[in-house]
Amino acid sequence: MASTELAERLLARDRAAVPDALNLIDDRRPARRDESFALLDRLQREVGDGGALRVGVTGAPGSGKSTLLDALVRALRRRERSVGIIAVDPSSPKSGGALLGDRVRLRSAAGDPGVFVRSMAARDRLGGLADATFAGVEVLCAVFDWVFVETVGVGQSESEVAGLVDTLAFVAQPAAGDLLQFMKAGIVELPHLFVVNKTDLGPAAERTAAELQAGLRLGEAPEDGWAPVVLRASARDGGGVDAVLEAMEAHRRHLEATGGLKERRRRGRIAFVREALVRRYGSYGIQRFGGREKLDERLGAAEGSSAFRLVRDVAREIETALAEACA
Amino acid sequence: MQVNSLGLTEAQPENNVIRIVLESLGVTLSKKARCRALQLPAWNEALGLPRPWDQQWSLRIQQILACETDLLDHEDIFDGSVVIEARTAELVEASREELQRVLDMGGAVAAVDNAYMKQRLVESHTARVREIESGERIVVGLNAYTEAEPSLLTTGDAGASILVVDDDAEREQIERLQAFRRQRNQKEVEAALANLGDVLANGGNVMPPSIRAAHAGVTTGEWADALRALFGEYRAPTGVSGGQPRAASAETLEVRERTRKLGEKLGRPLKILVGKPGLDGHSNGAEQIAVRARDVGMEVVYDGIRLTPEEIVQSARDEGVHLIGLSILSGSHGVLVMDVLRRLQEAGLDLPVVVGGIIPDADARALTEAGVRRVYTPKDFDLTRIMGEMVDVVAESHGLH
Ligand code: B12
Ligand SMILES: Nc1nc2c(ncn2[C@@H]2O[C@H](COP(=O)(O)OP(=O)(O)OP(=O)(O)O)[C@@H](O)[C@H]2O)c(=O)[nH]1
Ligand SMILES: [Mg+2]
Repeated sequence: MASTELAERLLARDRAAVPDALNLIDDRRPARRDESFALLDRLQREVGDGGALRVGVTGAPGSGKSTLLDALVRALRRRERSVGIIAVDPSSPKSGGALLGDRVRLRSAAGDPGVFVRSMAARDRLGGLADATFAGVEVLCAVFDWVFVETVGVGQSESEVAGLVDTLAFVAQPAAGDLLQFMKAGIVELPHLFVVNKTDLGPAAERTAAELQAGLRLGEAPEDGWAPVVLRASARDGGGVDAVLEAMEAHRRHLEATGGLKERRRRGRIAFVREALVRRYGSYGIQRFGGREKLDERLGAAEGSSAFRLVRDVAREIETALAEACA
Repeated sequence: MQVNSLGLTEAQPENNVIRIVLESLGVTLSKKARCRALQLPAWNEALGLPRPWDQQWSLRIQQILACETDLLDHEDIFDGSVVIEARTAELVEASREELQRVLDMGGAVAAVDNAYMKQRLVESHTARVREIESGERIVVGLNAYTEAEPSLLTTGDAGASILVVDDDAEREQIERLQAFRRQRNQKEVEAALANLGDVLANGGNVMPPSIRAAHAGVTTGEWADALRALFGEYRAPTGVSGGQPRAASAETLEVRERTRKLGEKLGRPLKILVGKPGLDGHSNGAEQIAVRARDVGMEVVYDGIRLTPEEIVQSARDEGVHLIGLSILSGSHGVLVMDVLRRLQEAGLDLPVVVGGIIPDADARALTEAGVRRVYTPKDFDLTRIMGEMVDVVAESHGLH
């Protein structure tokens, strides 16, 4: 099976295997689904809770996520760290097509084998992540030191991307009116760091940072003991970028020190499985299975199984329940 | 004043002479609004570079207008024309509104940076292309009155109707540059560049060190490299991601359906890369192709102008695209396309490539022989048809029909 070879190459951190692996996990044809399953199941088991630092970068359109990522990549390359990036853009609901425009800003990827960028269209996942993103992160994590996921923040995607990464960064523009909206929607509870970008544009950044800081104090105390930080940066001239990187590393150290990393990844996997099953079988299917609670119990008890295997196993169980319901 | 060349066609190119005359009237008839200097394009504008004879023909238009008519004897012949006054007032008002909008954004630099300007350019071009495609806007010889006698201006040897640049020209230019560099005082050059670098790093006035550099014989390239080393290179917004598709035509829906079906067969939606290799800044065609590909349901990676063949191949591989579309209007298609093809082969990527731009017939044949699947030029105004063919090309390359 081709996937065995692919897995070997990925586990040996062979960059050249990454495009093929990403094409495979995106492939809907049944035969390829099986191969893809075998690959991902193995990768997740072998990489486990190790592998790359996984960081999500979210925020309003045009806030400078890609430009900031580019600056971060440059800083990481100076430290000889390799970087893999998945950049998700929305699809047009009318045509199903998409213009994938983040690469334009991720210039430091050009010609550097230590950097990898794959753009993904969100397809029918309006405002959400692409289906292949979760699996894509798994592939990149095997090969690169750092993995970033860029996604436009429009509400739903924050919680999805939060489940996918160890550290979530929210990029805000100075004087962004939608900041309040985000706060109301409770989205400020997810990110571990807030970056007020474009400080080169003037003092408005100070105000926005102060507002954010004040807004955060109103929020609930974080359950994992990490107090979110507010940072200022200019992706354009590079100011504050090292501090952003350091904050990301600090959060990672915090997760490792508190044992939060394992728990966070476990929860992320469960959220992914639940999402996938709910989307596939709808609330009726879940109800037939015995309801949300039963499902959560089933997922919670499945220690040691990869998320991909879990989807497959529980899907069978749901299908059996559905078949019984029909009989 | 340079008049509009975008409306000059590859199809029935002799008609361009009439267009050029009309355009020259537009900028000369009114004495008060008369241009100070006029440069007219040539009849073969959309075919390639003009030869001296083609330029002479355009120059004669001005001379005939100046010497054989009484235009220059009169005051402004539009004085008192209500129609012209009203039309002018409209234009002035619309321009003021536009300027105000840009000022409100923080000025032209901000409007470039936030993609406003580029998006408006792409959108208005999208509208224009659609009108031509649907026949709402008639372009004689292109989408109407297309039946024609063979053009006597373009028959004969391939390339006989445009200026063909001598292959040695590049080599000679490089030799001249090298000779120029050899006779400079290298110490002075280095000192001037060091001085420029210092001033740049300290945020000082660049003019004095630039003038010093010019006197020392520092070349434009070296001067720009010094700036690039500090500031990096600006990547302008591509302007393509704004705007949503208008109501789709029946043909568009049909191609959309074929795109979707092929995506199912391939296991994932069609993904393409539209790339512009080289220093060619003509982005209009690539932008329209990218936007339309999105509108027929493709996932499109478009990274703007000035990519190297190496970057294009890397993007194509990393992004996992099914097809590469190159757009080249600079005349360098020979070298650049071959370079891309060679690198694809070296990378073991069996990806179909299509090319569009100002490509003379003979070159198009050579490119096709080298493995390019389709070549498009300005006469191919039917973008929906181009999209349909790109779907076919991907299907063919996967052995699906
Ligand atoms: C508009 C224009 C410009 C604009 C470009 C603005 C922009 N952002 O695009 C400006 C004023 C900036 C410009 C500048 C120059 N230009 Co100019 N320009 C033109 C012009 C008039 C029209 C091009 C255009 O936009 N057409 C509209 C688009 C939609 O058509 P298109 O690109 O041909 O695309 C169609 C097909 O070719 C095809 N296609 C194209 N790409 C692709 C890609 C794919 C994947 C597919 C499937 C299909 C496809 O599909 C499209 C639909 O029909 C042409 C002449 C002409 N009438 O064609 C000269 C022309 C291209 N320019 C020319 C020149 C020489 C220049 C300059 C070097 C002039 C100078 N000395 O400074 C500069 C260079 C600028 C630079 N940095 O590269 C020459 C090129 C000569 C050659 N190839 O031998 C031309 C042919 C004029 C001439 N005869 O001299 N130009
Ligand atoms: N002045 C200034 N402009 C910036 C900065 N960072 C990004 N920009 C500009 O902001 C615009 C948007 O930047 P992107 O990096 O594409 O923003 P994004 O959040 O990735 O955008 P989407 O992916 O479209 O949501 C571009 O024109 C950038 O040049 C910054 O620090 N300062
Ligand atoms: Mg982006």
